[in-house]
Amino acid sequence: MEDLLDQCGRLARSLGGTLISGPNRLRDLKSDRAYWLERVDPHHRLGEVLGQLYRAWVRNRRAIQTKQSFWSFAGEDAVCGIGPGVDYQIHYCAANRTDVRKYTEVKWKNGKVYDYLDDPYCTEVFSTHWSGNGWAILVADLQGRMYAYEHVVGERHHSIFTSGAAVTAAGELVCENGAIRVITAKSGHYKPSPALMLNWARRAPLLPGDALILPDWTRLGVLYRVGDFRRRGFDAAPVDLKTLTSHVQALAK
Amino acid sequence: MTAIATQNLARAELSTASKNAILRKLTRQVALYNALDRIRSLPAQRFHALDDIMKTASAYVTSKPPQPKPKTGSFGRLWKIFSTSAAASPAALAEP
Repeated sequence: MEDLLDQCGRLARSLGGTLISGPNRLRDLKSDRAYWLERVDPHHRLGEVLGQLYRAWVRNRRAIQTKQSFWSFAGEDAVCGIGPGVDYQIHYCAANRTDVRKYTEVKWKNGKVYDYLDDPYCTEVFSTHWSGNGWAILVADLQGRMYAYEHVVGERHHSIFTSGAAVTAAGELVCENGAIRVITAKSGHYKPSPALMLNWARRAPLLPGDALILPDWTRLGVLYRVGDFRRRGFDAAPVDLKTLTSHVQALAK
Repeated sequence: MTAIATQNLARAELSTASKNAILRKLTRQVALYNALDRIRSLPAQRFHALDDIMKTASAYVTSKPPQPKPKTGSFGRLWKIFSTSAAASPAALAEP
């Protein structure tokens, strides 16, 4: 089964996209973050919580003896009871519901991005768990549409925009007055590879050339200018962190 | 070549003759994906097919916990022979 899912992951990457992370590590007991479980769970409970339950399930003697299914073991409650006052239920956008996509889609116009109200898009009021204030989470779907919104742990993650389906890019974004300043590849749900981010940068010609991109989340200090990165790939000249702070007003504050 | 290699999948009991309904469904979905590959379909269709495979595989691995493998070493074989033979019966073990 792992071989099959490994192949699926590789094929998705060769097609220029990425599936939700985790399907090729089904039996990996070291990994707590089972986002593939979050996707198939009818309640879309948080992957971290389901991952812990999965680990307990594969070791549970009673479950093994009675061949109890994981969903029976995990229970039907939508609330996992991990955090008081927090339901940890990811608000997936159902396939037949377009409202979330409509309100979170960002559209290109004259080299700038605009929100659903046709106002220049700005991430100043948003924040993400990893990068803090001034950042939003970003996803590009298979049709090339871009979605961005605030990151809320246990509620709004990268998987909500496409209901956990494959994407061409995912990460974080800083946008000031409609101008994209910085893009990173930070997404635990999709873990986009640097090659995938390069592919996306080349397929999204409206992405401004002077914006900065961090295509490899494991190499935090290595950023490139999008235009240079698009042309020269990983041979592009890296940009230092000083340039990053001077480039982004919000980060300089 | 972007088709799913099926040579190694037989070990996972992936065949249309499998006893498990989820595995039979998975086998059909793999065949469907490979057919899409042959007719050079749109990438979106292929992604959709890959996504279906992932969901069915997830349904399979969550259907029951991994069962412990039977002992296959020399001791395991010896134990199997001993435990199933008449020598292991209470009557044989009882002193005459």
